[in-house]
Amino acid sequence: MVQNEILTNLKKAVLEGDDIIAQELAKKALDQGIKPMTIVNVGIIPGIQEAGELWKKNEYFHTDIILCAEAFRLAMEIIEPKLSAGEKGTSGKIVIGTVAGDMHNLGKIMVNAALRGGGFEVIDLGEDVSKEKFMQTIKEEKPDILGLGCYMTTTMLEMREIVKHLENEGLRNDIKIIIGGVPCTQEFADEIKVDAWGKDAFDAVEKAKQVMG
Amino acid sequence: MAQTGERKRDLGSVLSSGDKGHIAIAAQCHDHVMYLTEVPAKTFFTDFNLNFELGALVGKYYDLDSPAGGFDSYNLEVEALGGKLIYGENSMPTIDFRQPLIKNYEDLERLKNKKIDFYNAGRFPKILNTSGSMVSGMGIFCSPFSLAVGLMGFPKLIRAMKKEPKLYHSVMSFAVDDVLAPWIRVQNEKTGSLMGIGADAWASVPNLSPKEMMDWIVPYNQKLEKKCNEFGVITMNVTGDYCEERLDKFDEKILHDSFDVEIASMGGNPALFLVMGRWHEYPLQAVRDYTEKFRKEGKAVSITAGINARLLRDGPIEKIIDNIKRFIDAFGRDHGLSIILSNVPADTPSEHIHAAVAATHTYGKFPIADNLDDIELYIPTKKSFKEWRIENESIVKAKMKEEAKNERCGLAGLLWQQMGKINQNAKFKEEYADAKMSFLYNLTDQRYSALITIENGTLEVKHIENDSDTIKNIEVDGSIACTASLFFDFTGGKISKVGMIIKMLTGKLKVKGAKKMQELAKIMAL
Repeated sequence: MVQNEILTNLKKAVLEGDDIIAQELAKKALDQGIKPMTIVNVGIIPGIQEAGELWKKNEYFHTDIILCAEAFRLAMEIIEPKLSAGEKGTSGKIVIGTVAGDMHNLGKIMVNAALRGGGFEVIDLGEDVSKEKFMQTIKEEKPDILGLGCYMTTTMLEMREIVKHLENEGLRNDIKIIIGGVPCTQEFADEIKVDAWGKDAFDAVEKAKQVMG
Repeated sequence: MAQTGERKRDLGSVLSSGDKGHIAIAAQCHDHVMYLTEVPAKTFFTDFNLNFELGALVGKYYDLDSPAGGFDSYNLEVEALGGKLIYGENSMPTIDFRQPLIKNYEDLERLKNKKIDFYNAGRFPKILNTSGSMVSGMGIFCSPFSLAVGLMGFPKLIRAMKKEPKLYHSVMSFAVDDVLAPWIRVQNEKTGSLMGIGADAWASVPNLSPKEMMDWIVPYNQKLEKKCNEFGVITMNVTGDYCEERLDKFDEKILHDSFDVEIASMGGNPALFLVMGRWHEYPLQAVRDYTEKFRKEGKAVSITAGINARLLRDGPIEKIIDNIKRFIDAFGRDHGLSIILSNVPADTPSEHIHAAVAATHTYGKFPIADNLDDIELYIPTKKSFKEWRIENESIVKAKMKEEAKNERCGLAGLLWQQMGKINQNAKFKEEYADAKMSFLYNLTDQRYSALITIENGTLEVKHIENDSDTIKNIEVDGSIACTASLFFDFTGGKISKVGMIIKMLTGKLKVKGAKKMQELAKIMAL
């Protein structure tokens, strides 16, 4: 298989959510001597970006995006270790997690893939993440953006506590905050004084780029 | 005779306050009730008697037409199967999706071989032993697809759907055959509930396309419906809610296709749920365009219209009121409309809910005015819940205790929803002022039968235990005896006259005092 064909098929596999094929093609691309950054930029990211376009056109639903995100993740798992430090996360560094008491991860999985597809380095702390864990990671990793997700109206209130915590620790001015998840709104984002609200995974990428200026 | 089988097409009637003279408003309100009453989450979601009591109290505070509150209906079955839940300090429990019960066939086989005690597993007994319920006579369950999500997690279930359909179908079959049908049956046996409503928020747009739902989910909803019909319970699944977040992505075709999914999951009857979406922004004409075909055929269409959770929380009040007014103006006159406050956020200001209730009761007063702008809306200033509670809790609780004595179980509860309104009918009052008659609907395979009495111009429906002595000794003017399933079939018009005669000849349907039974039908036609 020629290099271009591998990359075309890789993009297709990501777009169509064929995770195992995407991973195999990523390996094959490396074996063929294609530069890791080329594989990412030509084979992997265009797949997730096109998925975003199809989402906007109502041709893709969460079922498609979630498979696409998984194919993206598996392909990146192969390529990412081969990228040089300067090639990773050129758009910025984001720490994300679902707040304490909340186990929902569907939105976060999609946001994670979309952000990485948008050139961000993403540190995903998982679900049910305590304030303390967020603080510790922020201090250690010094991210540009903190992404907070929730699914319930009760856990949504935890976001306010995290913002307060950041203020108390004197860290608020060093970091941008984006929130997301079913119960969130722009009004709530304004109320708890965060920088943006992402209404879905692809909107989150746009907002992340905006807050980075 | 009351067309009990028609209940399916009018879930809104379950919440109906037609006898109060206005459109009904209910609230999906567990987080808010917990927040308002300051009860720890763990207590609130494990002590269901307290949960329902507080829900009823908050319902009275807001003057809602049914109790507020509720519980985590997506978790119960998974927990009973051994799934891990996270009980947060201040939040509703959630399934720990990091440790799903089913990751592969082996896990599924293990679960299949596990003997589930539906009377005692997890929090099942707490539900079964709770006195009273949110809606009398109605069981609650997690619909097949949402249950499968709880068992596997959404990504893994979708992966199975797309890449390993055999696993997907095995999990869905397990959900229906081994979990939900037996669980609904136990609820029916223990509480007498004849109707079950399935929560299915995972099966909504844009999580899935309408086609995916129609192909992969609806067949299992229908399978469950069929299985439960065999033991006399009607199930409905709230599948297909349209929840598109981006207004620029609103698509009428997708909306209409999602309505097709809703109806197919509701036994084919036109009952639409506009619950979680941004209905304050979507065009309502798109809904009318869809229901037109039913209205032209003279079919009643019920609409449960939701006030968006985020709008409720963030306000402003004017926008909340305007949204209710829009709903009533669009659907109040020619649809069976009820309003629901969708998943009320915990810290929603009480004045927002008071305004929503006042707007529904004012603009929704029957008959609905031609021009709602001509109606003046008065929103009473109310005390805070804390202050109100101090003054009213004991009175409300005493009243609730009294009401609980009159609880109507099984068929009696369902019949009352439809028949009770007749007591407000002047013609009935006048024509039957001196009448005295009684009727028995004896559902032979159920825990309870229903006794209808008419005396001094008042109709009453009560449940009676279905033991043979009670039934044998009861003296009534007319009676019908058959299984629940057959009862729903013939009241729903699914059996022809010839079919009924055959059932009577074979002893499956016993009718006594046929002429008097016709009299009851005449009354209900009033």
